[in-house]
Amino acid sequence: MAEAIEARKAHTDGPAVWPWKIYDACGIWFWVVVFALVFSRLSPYFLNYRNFSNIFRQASIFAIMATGMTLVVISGGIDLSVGSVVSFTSAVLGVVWRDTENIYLALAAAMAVGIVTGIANGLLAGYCRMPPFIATFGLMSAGAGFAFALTPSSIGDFPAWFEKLGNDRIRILSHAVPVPVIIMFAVAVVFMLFLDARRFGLRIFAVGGNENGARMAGVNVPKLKLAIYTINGALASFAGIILCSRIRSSYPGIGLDMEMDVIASSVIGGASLVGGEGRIFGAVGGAVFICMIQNILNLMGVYPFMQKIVTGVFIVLAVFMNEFRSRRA
Amino acid sequence: MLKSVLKLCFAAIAVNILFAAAFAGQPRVAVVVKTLTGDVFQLKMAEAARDKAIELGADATIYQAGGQTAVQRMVQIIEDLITQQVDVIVISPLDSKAVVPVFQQAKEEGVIIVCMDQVAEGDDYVTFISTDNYAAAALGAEFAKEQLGGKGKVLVVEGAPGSSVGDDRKNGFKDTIVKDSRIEVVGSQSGYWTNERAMAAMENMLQANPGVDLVFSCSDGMTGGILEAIKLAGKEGRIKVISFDGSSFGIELIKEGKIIADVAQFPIKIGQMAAEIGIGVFNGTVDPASLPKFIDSGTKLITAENADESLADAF
Amino acid sequence: MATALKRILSFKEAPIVFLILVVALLCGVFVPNFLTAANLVNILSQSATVGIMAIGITLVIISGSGGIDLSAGSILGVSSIVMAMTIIPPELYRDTAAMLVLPNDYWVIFKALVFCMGVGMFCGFLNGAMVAWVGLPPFIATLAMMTAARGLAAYISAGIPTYGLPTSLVWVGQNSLWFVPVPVALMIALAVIVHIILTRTTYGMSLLAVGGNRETSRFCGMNVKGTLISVYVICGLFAAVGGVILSARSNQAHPDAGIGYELSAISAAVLGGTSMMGGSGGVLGAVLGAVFLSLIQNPINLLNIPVAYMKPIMGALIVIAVLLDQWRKKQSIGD
Repeated sequence: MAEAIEARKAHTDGPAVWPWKIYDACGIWFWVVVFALVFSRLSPYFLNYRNFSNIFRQASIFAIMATGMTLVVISGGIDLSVGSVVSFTSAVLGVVWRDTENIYLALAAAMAVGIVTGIANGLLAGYCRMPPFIATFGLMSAGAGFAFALTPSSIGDFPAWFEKLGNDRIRILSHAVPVPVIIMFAVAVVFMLFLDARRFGLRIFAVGGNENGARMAGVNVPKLKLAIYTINGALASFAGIILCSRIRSSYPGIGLDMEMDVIASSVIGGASLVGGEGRIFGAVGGAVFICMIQNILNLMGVYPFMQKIVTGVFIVLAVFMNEFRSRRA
Repeated sequence: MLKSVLKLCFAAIAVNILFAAAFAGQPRVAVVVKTLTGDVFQLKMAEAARDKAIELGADATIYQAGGQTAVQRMVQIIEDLITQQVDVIVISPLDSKAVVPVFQQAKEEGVIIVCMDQVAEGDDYVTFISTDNYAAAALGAEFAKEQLGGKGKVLVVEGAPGSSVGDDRKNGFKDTIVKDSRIEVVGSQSGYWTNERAMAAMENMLQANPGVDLVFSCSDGMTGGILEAIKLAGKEGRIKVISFDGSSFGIELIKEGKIIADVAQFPIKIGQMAAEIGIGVFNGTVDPASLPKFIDSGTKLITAENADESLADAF
Repeated sequence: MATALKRILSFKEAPIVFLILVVALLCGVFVPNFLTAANLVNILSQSATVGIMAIGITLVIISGSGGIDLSAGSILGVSSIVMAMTIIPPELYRDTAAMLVLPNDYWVIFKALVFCMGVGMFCGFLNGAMVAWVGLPPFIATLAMMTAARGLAAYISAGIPTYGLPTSLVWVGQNSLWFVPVPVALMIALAVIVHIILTRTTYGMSLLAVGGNRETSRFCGMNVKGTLISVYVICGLFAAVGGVILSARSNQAHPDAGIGYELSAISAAVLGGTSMMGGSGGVLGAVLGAVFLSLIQNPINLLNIPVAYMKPIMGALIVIAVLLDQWRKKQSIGD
């Protein structure tokens, strides 16, 4: 345990030279700023408050999910089921709301989707020691199917206060900030404190760095994994609810392929898929980075097929720049 | 009747636009569709809308959500288009409800929205231009009834689950074909709008129901796979096929005798009309209040008799 | 009895064989029209593309340290488009009108196959280079390739699928040698060849060693980077072969071909007893895994069950298969 703490300290502290120290502390945010400056030359509509509040709101859904995913990735796992959880959450939210007209019940049921899926993932990955890739892949298939089995079409007419959750703005320092963005930062701060200051956080790093070592040091690895996957599932459901609120309806296919963007956000933000490394705020930055790329491509009106090629190149670039950071450290 | 009204509408709009284009600034038009890969219908519709807009002096760009259920991406694109201050969005929404909030936002910003192929809720769009899918599929079903002499076994290859367009076609066909007949729908599976999935579904359905008389394919994009499956099962010529879309591919298949009919829709017309109406409203030459909320772009049953003449205006 | 069971359990492929037998038996009893020669041949043919991809992906997974190839489905797409565009004259390609009738020009077809596999190997090489030389995590490197290659497939084809390939090429996908369909024969042949390479050659041994412990292999003087790159190249090649088969079978080239196939192929590999941790696994199991995946899809279509229920059933079966494998390992080690 002590060893893991030392190793983590050594990593976060990095080398002593101060420019590098700042660079290390910024992580992906450094590149977000650099690319934002470059992109502002490419489109007159890019660099303004309004566009950025858009980008951040688009990123907020991914960022909330990436927060949970980062915990999973730090512990040395992966969760492919989050996209399906969002779809399934959305479907359950809609169906329960349509059938009972009780939004609280609907919200509870929707959250239960993520928690139950998370528990199932945790049991399989933790207690049954299944490879997380496969355990969560199984649930990914199941969730996506169930969502469409439950309702093939969209459901709407939610109560007004619920619809505000994803669409309203709150005035902070004379700027109207979208609610999802505030939620995103709140979630990120909570989990960052959690990860940095609590024993729970240290244990996650320890398990990810050296699972056997952590077990010897007395960490209950299966229980820890159960907790991590449950948190991740719950956050995915939470993100799904916000997304439903944003589009004021539920749609069973909404989470399609989201897991890939979420995992990429985590890794761009500095998480290592081998485990033992990761940053919550980095993951948020990763999500912003990805949404920013898509945004500039849309603003420039790049033909859709070319957009895909460019996105692929940028994912590689972003992760490479991070590798460069951690390798030097 | 409908056709002549449409034509009149068309001509009026065209003249108005020609007149107005000289005075107004260059409008910026965005064409947003579900996907451009493999879906020739969406591709041709998008290209027709773009080309028409450019022809009318606008600056036009195509965007795709990139999948039949990529709702979230589509919402993101519309948000980005609003930031870009485009003037007209010509769109084929993925879902009727999910786009409503961004549509409202767009309308508040003064963006003109025209829907094609699939409708959205609310009244934030100017008009909706599409095939009446349910009625069109019913047209196919009536022909099928005739061909089968009122009895037999029928298979349906559906579109992707969750697609309202696909559901309308499926339901339109199923509802009509069982009415007043001894025809039974023995199998109905999704081909996910793709040839390969349709082929697998068809192979397996043929295994379960060897004595099938007719197949209804919800899109020309799946008919190729269905025909391969029939060929591999050695039932070529014994199973009649009716398809949907009326693409030039489908019509060629009729001419070759591989399918008996194709229910046509007109994506190029839909795209052109959408662009004309959108730019017309922008220029103030078309009064949005006078437009109907739904414009039926028409449909036609193509069989061996009218295949040649239909080929001319097919996509 | 106990020793016999242990002997059986010592094979990685035991759980998947068991599962195939159970599902086949259940279907044979309860599903009409299941146990017919034509249907069984159907199942095998439908599994060929995923099976061939799974062979390549198994090698990548064996190479260890999170080795995975998410781009295989997209490589399949882009290479089959390249093949079709080499065969089809450009003026015909943009013409979406009809089913093309093309001459059997063997030189053109040969060129097309070479280009197709070349593109597959080149994409695979890029994957390998990003993983081995740049040091990117395979998940991310291949995720980027997955997006980019799909975009490329759409870009060069302008999004238009073509229908109709030369009959000699379609023969590869649709005809049978004696009574075995060509795709199935090809899948089995490739599986056997790769199995022999993996178990009987120094290359196979070094791959298993690199997957088992990369550091040790490096200290022992093995060419770790070369080995890594080679498996991604092979994986790209097999994805391209899968593309040839899929296009030939459905007689078309489609820019969206193979979407989602990579996940099926990865689960096929894991179902077949390959460990996600790397260092152990077998390609025969991967092929059986692919057969299993199309086996469970078949009765769902035969019974006309709505598609939405198909995925949950598949997910559950995959989980069961891996749990069985876990149990097998415990049994065969734990005495």
